[in-house]
Amino acid sequence: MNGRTCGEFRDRLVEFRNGSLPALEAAETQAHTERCAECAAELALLGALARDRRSAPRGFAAGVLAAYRVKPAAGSARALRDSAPRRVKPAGRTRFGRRALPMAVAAAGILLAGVVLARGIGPAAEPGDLGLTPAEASVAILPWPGHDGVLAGAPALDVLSNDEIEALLEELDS
Amino acid sequence: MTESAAVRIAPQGEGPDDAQLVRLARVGDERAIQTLVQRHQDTAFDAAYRVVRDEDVAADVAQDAFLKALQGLDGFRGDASFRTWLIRIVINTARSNLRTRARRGERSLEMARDPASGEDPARLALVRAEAERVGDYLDALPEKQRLAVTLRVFEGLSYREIAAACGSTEGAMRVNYHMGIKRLREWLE
Repeated sequence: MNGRTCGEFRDRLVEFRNGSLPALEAAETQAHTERCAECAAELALLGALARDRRSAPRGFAAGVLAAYRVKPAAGSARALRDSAPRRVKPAGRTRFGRRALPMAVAAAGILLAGVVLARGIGPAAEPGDLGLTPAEASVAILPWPGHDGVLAGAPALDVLSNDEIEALLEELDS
Repeated sequence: MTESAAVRIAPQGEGPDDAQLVRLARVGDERAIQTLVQRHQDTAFDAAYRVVRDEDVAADVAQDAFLKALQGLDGFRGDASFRTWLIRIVINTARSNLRTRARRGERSLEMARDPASGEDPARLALVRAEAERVGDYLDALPEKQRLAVTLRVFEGLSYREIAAACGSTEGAMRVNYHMGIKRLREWLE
């Protein structure tokens, strides 16, 4: 027995499906999904989801190339920066008060709120932490809605430490 | 034989790698540009669709994003993969498109942000009534969960790559992925 939890197996189901796991890990995952109904159900869900991937319409690539020929072809970082959408003010308060969260989400939210309150706010990730150069990171991402789909009222997930994330995932898994 | 002469159109996983193609594309090698577009067109289109949820708009968004990427190759130094960088541009372009359309009144910002949200029982009931396939439920997930699930399942990206593409943290995207999968399983039961 390798002692892995269902959560650990579920974290690798995508790689198991696409065949990128090393042979031994693939065999362990295969054996686990044969005896664990929950992980087998999640694997089946991934298979169903994968069939819903959208493909670009016919002629899409030709259209891009035609448009590229018309537009100035001299590429430059400035051209990208100038054409990229401008960063806008962060969204204000969310619509938490108007929404009722399902029980599972509420439970996760309560845990998350507790973790945040108990341990304080951790450091936010810097672009460099994400494997992007400053130029790459300059392709600004518009602010996300403030609730991260888990906890209304604050973009709390982005500021949690690894331990806090693990605690939250454990709660979600239970 | 020049380097570009060796380039041939190949599906993803075959032929020259993206780094080589980007080098050639920077100096205007049209064949390399064509290969990059063909290789990543489905990725760009699907990522755009997951934000705007309209195939016609997604095609426009994906095209705009490709043009921005191709015209801005000088700003790409290759520390992240070209695909991750492209997805980041696609997501930003798509979200900007939603905001513009909301301002024009073509759709409400509420809908643009989070149409079914998965948190409103009445809207969820409507989704359940109309859902014909798992993708309909996928569309009903909140935006960040939807992107985490699709980028992981469709594109096979790691949480780190998803975080880079979405401008978030690895941990946050991991939680969003698991929340999305958990919700989908609950809705489909």
